[in-house]
Amino acid sequence: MLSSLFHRLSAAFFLLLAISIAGFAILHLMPGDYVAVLMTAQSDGIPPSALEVAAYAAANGLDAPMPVQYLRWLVAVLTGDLGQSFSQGRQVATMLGAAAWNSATLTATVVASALVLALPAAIAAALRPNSILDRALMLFSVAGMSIPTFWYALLASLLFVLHLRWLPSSGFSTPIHIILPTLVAATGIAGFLARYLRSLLLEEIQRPHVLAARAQGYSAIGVLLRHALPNALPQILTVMGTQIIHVFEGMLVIETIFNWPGMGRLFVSSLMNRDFPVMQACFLTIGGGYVLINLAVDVSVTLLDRHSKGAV
Amino acid sequence: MHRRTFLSLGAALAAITAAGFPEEVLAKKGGTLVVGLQSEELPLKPESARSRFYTRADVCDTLVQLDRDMILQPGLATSWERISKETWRFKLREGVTFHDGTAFDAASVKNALEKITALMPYAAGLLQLKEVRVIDPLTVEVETLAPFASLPNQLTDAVTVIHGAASFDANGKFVKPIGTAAWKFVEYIPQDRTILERFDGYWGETKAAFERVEFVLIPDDQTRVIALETGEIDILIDVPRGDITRIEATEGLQVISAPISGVNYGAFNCAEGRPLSDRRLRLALNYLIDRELVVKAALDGFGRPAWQFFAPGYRWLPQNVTPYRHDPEEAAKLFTEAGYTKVDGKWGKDGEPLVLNVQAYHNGTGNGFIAEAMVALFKREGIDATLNAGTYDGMVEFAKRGDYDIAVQYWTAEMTADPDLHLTSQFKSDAGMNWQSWKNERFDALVDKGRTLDRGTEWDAVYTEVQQILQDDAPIIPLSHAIFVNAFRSELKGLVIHPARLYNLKAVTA
Amino acid sequence: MASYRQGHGEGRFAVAGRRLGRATLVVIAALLILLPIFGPMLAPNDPEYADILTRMQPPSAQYPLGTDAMGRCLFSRLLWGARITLVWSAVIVAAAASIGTLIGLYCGYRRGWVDLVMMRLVEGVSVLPSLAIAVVISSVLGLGLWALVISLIAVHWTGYARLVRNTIVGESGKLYVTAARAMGAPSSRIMLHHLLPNIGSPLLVLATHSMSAMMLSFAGLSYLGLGVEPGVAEWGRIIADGRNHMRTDPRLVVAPGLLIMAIIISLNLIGDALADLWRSGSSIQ
Repeated sequence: MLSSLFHRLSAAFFLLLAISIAGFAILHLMPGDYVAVLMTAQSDGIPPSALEVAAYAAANGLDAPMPVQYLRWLVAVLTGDLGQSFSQGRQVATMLGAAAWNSATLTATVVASALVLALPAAIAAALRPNSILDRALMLFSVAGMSIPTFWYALLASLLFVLHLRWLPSSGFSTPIHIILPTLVAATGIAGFLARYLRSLLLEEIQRPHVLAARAQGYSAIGVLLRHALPNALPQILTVMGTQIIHVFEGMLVIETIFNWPGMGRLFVSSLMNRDFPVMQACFLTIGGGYVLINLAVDVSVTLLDRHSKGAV
Repeated sequence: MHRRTFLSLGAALAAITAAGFPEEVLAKKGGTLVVGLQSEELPLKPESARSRFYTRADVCDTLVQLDRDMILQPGLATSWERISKETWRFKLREGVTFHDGTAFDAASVKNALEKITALMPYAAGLLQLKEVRVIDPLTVEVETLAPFASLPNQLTDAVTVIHGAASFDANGKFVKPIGTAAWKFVEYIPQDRTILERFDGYWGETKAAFERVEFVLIPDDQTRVIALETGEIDILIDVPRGDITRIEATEGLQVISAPISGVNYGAFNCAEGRPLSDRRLRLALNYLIDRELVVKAALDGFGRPAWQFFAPGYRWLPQNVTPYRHDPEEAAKLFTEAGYTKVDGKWGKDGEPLVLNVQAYHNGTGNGFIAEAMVALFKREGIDATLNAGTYDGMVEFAKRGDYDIAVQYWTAEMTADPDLHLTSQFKSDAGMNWQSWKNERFDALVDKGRTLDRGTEWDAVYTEVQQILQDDAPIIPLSHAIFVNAFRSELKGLVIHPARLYNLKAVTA
Repeated sequence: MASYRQGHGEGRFAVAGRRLGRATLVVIAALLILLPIFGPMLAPNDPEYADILTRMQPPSAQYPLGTDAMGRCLFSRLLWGARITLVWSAVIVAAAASIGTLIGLYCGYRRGWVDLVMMRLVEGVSVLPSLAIAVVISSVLGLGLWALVISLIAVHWTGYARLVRNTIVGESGKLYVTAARAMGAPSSRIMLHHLLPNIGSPLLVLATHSMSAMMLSFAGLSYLGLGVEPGVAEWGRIIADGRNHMRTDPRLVVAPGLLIMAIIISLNLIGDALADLWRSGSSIQ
């Protein structure tokens, strides 16, 4: 078990390294000379001449070979220096810290809300498959995951903000501000999870040991909770891990609509402004965060799944 | 289960509401004016494209100001004169203090202009400074690298505001804005808001009525409108076009709109081998497109049809220029002259249909929609066109590669009430933003001459001809002159629109 | 499943309801296939032809759903949009699913260093938001449909690879696989006949889900200004365009929004029905 853990950790480490190289390379491969973009950002949108570009590059070490620039950048990153934002002039690390925290908060409430909505629904549905309740719940779930996010966000905004006046339209200054973006982001995820969990539970229910337990007279819900659910846990964890990236994809739109100052907004605006240092840092943070989450998932799955040990 | 969950969520929300949420967040805090903006103001970064914040929000003053007719007015300088070809002398206002209590004088002007031109290539290009000399505490002389008649106009540009000495650190890096104007900078919360406070030591006659101003970022158009309707914001800057008429009709809300500096135009790629290298074709397109329809479709009519680069009607610019007009027959004649024929309703040459590659980008001025409307009209008139609209930088990349025929963009053409800046940066053959590959020697020579001349008949003659060359040689297709539309809660009084897009919130009262 | 359900019994109405549901789904499935093929033929107008003089018209005989801000026929745009949005979403899903399944099968069955490397690659790709890749690709290819299609495929295959691989890892230790292996069945046969049927149902659920995710991605990217070219009758683009007038003329947003929702709901229900069929089929086996 320990060697497997070490295996996972080292793999994650190399993956992070690969992400950093990819992030660095992609941004330098993007059309538009890096130095010219940097200088344009500093001069109110007026592109510099080729001569000015060359002079600036030489003065700032930006004419060095790419591997050298990468290593310099990596050393800086590892010492906590993510550079300065082109468009804002602030330290990227500072901007990122705040945004990452805001997004993590939102992601946590979204995932938690989605699970809270999905798990009971899935269990209720799996207990009586094809019953009216099951059908109603699944239709509800399907509807939830079928709504275009920004369309839904607007309708929710019109209802809860404009007509009912329950919630503020945007911003993040009080805890209440998190409710509307959470609701909008969690609906789709919850719908997907409910369906997925239901189909997993139904499969588990058919397994011999579950059927055997049923035959011994255990109650349906007891069997579900005691046998089917724990057995399905590895797959639930795996799918939750992959859903994190969907939560983030949703953030790109939701954070813009509700002006939640997180990674999604930061990322979109850095893409629009070609704010390379911020973009790079977003790549690293999103990529790194996702790797770590899925590392945790993989490790848990390995620990949980006794079958997988003998598989190689 | 879902239903019950929703019900309990509803109950929770009701509880929160009862616990005083509206009072805390929705209700007005006494004396604070909340302004909703589409893009972020960056008070700590004058180098960015959004550095106009200091004058828009009345945090800092420029030496020279523009009134609402775009006529030069005293700012921190009370008078100015040109004492030689290269030198201007400015008399400074007495009794002005910065927000940090230090006194404003000639030394602060020298310091601020030197720091800002060292910091920003844009400012350096704008001012062409050679030296700033302190003559006495209230007199400075500014010497430029070459004869420069429009220096006072350039000194109305937002980047030339006079920051206090403590705005910069020992290395000349900008730290925070310390100005002399009506509002004092308090705090900037990234991606959320910028907070200002009334400055009681302000030198101007208009004293602000509100104690605080908060500029809140709400990037989404619909969310911003909802925030105005619920009272979360008091003033909405840049009303989405589709909502203007509705808001006007809404009780408790008012709309204010007026023309401001700015034009959306399509730059033609005049490079050799491109269809639009033919002047006749460029003119034909200019006659073909009905700008009234462009403005109607793209902006719901809240734009002024543009038939020339600089908007007409400004007193500072010679007006006797022949604008384009909508004249499909003239266009057809020009097409025929250029060797094009219409087959099956499509214009083409030598059996090849004409296909124009249009590049554009989306921004708050409706640039993308304007391009879309133009392309729709092209197609209606038998010209095939493809449209690609992404980000500004994306468009610039295509333009630089020369991989386009028309690049639709937005430019604040009248910003300093002087044509020089725009002509030298957009149209001169060596201009950094001349992606048109357009070259006209007469134009270049006139622009070089114009910037040395004082205002008068010769200046008028030069800029009349310059404008006429733009019309006749047609490196662009002007599409729409900007209209600035804001909305606010009806309790507020005193809102005006300034052509340089200044908010002038000090004049707003409840 | 059948044996489990017996315990509860099933009313006549439920059986009838299920049959009716199945019949409805078959009809809907047929419609979904027919819509992109024949829908455009029913369109009364050219979906991209903009006549600004007739902009923002209310519904009429000539324009069944009225016209948009540029004066285009909304109804015709929605019909043509089926061909663009549905067909391209299907193409993306098919490509992503085939690539992902093949890789997942191989890795899950063989394990070893190939698996290790591939799974890191899967993670490496899926940690980059598809939007980011879309922007990078489109800044090279130019924004537009092709850039979107390529970038969405480039990102979405990973979900299938991961799912297939993890399920296979779970399955391969099981008795029937060990038995098949002990009997000397070639690995390709084991994968095709024993392992693939077992991952069929989660795969189908995932595929229908990602078909809808694709349509939602189109919409999200259009909202951010990174979607298909302006003027193209893609459903997400149509909603994004309608936003500007949604408060004064809700039909511009409500009609395409409801259409997308209805289509995605149908897709998911069909996926469920298919998964049910597959499951009952394989349990008989």
